[in-house]
Amino acid sequence: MISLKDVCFSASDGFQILDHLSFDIPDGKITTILGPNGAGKTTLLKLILGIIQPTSGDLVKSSGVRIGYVPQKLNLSGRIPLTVHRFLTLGTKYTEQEIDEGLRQTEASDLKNKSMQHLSGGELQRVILTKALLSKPTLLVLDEPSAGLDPAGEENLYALIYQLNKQTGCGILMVSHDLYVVMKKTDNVICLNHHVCCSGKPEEVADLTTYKSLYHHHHNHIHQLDGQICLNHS
Amino acid sequence: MFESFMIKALIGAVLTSIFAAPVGLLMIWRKETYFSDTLSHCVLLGVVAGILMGINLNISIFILVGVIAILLIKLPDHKMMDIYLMILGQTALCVGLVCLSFMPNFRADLTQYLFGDVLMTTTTDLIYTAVVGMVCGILFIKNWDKQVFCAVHPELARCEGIDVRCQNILFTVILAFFVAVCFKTTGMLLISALLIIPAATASSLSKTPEQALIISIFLGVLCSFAGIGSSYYFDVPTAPAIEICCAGCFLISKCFVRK
Repeated sequence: MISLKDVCFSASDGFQILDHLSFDIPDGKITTILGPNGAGKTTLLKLILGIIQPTSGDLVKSSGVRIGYVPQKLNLSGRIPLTVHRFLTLGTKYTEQEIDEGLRQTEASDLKNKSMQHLSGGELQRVILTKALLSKPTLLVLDEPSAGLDPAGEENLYALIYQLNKQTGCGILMVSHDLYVVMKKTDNVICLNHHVCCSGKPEEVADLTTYKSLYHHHHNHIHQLDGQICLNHS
Repeated sequence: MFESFMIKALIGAVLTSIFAAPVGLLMIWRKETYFSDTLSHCVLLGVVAGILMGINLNISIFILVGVIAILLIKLPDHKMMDIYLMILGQTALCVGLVCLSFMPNFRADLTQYLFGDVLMTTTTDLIYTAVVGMVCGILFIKNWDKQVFCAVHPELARCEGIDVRCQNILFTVILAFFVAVCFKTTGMLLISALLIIPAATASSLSKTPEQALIISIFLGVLCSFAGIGSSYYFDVPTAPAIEICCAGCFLISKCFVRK
């Protein structure tokens, strides 16, 4: 449903963050992007979300794609008074019925009238997920959904995400560091470090030495400390 | 009882504090509290420009503050933004002060610009404030939900189809309008206080953005009455009296509300 062809992105200072990415994100499947910090994962998500535009290359979305976005952090810091109910109706006025149904799907019904700033990390993720689901997305984009959660919360959240994928049939694209949790259920893995190091089904990728050494990898080149690729022909 | 200048002062202060409520709330929610300082410190330059060009000071101030506001929008997001804005604002204030020192017949009025003189409010000022406040109020009511969403999470708002850039421009332009209109009441040094204190108090007392707006308007009006009243009976400067009332409300809210 979304296909990237030779997509490059450079920051305003000329630093190339993404280098000739080409892959497809299929309908209804779970796709996981893996990669070390600073590999360009969040930048890639922003391109897919349309928040930024590629410097070169094509990013084609098939018609009818609706993206629901679950950002990494919701930095409310208690400044903005906001209940869960009010947060869910920001931007679009959903009916009470839709909101109740959405909260039920993410098992967050009891949070409806709580203040956003009183939610725990796991509760907050459920609420943000609910907001993304209310727009009836065909693709759900999650940026490190388990960041800041304890192991139990992490497991619950991933179970919920898989369940939503099964129930609603919406595709999932997520960025994650949790290799072992994620690999079990993912249909498709993309290993990213400025360029696509390897991609494919988890079992295929897991066999590749590139995946095992993604975080300290040596394939046909090595990366300098700043992430720049320096070719290693030997 | 109250003389007509007191009535005018009261109307001016009430209009200003109502206008300040949505602007102040959105400003603190957007974490752009230094914006109003920068803009208000440029007011004096507007005064200088107006005198030099021989045009109405209201117009010259608005043009100057508006230009600076547009420049602020054009600046890319930068981690050092708050520092740069501080430098810009303070420098503009100093340049304004130096320029005014070359205009000896103007020095007498300096305190009026720095700390405001609500008792000097004229009918023309009131009409000017009311019209600008009305236009901005309508714009705010129409865009309130979008403005709040952009303050909560701009990228999420963008994904739900809101033109975040357009909303940012709208907010900054209204802030410029506010500064240009309201410095007469509060004085340029106290504008930020009138924007921030009632908004911060209201935010900590409410559960939703709309509640915060209503409480903030109520507090602003209450403090205008209290400030002008004490200024009349105890002969203290008006704008600082209003600010002290606001600060008092803030302290009380902090003491009694556990959140």
